[in-house]
Amino acid sequence: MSIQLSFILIAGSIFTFLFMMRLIAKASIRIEDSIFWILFSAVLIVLSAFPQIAFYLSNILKIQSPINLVYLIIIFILIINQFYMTIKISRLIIKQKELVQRIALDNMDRNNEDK
Amino acid sequence: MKLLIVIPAYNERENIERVVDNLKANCPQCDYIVVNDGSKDKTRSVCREKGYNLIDLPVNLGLAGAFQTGLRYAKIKDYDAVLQFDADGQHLPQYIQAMVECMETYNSDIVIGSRFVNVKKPKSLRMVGSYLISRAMKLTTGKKISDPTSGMRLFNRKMINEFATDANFAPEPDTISFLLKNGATVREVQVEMRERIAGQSYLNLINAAKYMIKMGLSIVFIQWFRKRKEF
Repeated sequence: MSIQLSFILIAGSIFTFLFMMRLIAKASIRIEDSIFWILFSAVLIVLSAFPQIAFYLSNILKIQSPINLVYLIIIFILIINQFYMTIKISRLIIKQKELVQRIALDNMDRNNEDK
Repeated sequence: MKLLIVIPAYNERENIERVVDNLKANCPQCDYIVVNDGSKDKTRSVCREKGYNLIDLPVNLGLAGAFQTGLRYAKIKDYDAVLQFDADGQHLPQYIQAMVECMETYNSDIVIGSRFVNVKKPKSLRMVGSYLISRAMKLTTGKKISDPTSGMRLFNRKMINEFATDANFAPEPDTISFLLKNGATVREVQVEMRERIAGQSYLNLINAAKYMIKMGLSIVFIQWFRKRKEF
């Protein structure tokens, strides 16, 4: 893994982290939702600061180049996150539907009473 | 002092009756409100039948969202203080008076009903989380909170305003830590707690681990970046 790439990874992680903290300061994101990104940046920083980890693991897994392992880890984490996001969004849509229906039904009751 | 007791309830059909009746018997002068957090069981119809004061959320919001609903109600109705009170029978109404007196005497912003002011915290597996959170808070705020995970907390008017509007003010130790750091005054009063009467606690091993990661990161790390307020 080249120094240049490590540098990009570290810079990217720090940028992600600072961006999340700015959102928290503005209270426009919930703390629990920022935790994934904080841990994700932490993993990237550790991997770029200690490339030996990538070398060691790629050796065990018989992956030719350590950088491929780094990509693999990043893709894997993002896919898992994507998976959870799908579940979360689906739940949100269901809740929102229930809410809209509840409001409409309540209004109907009230309107009929008025008549 | 005009006090409102907020009781967030999620699937507490078996407990809610005993808890509210016990509260009414022991603290007849107190106002209370049950916030039904979109329960899937009969919590709602039990409350309706018994004629309890009830806010009925149509969908599940989680503890923070349910409690915040109670605080917004308190703000609209102009209450001086709000007590967070569990619906599972852990908290005992006999101690409410002592907590209110403590708030009035010392003019504190938050009073925590603590199990470990005069009693030593047991060195058990269940208390590992409590120890870690206490340490983290001591480290970052310099103040000692002996029972940070206690869910029996009394908030004054200033805190009601903050909690009712901010997205990141969950009634959890990390918020207490943030408030401490911003100059809010927190006191603890010795109370006794029971085991929950019936039903399942949501705190299994995985949830406990998630909770610890969230609290740890939030107290040690994220608090430094939150916007400072003066209390």
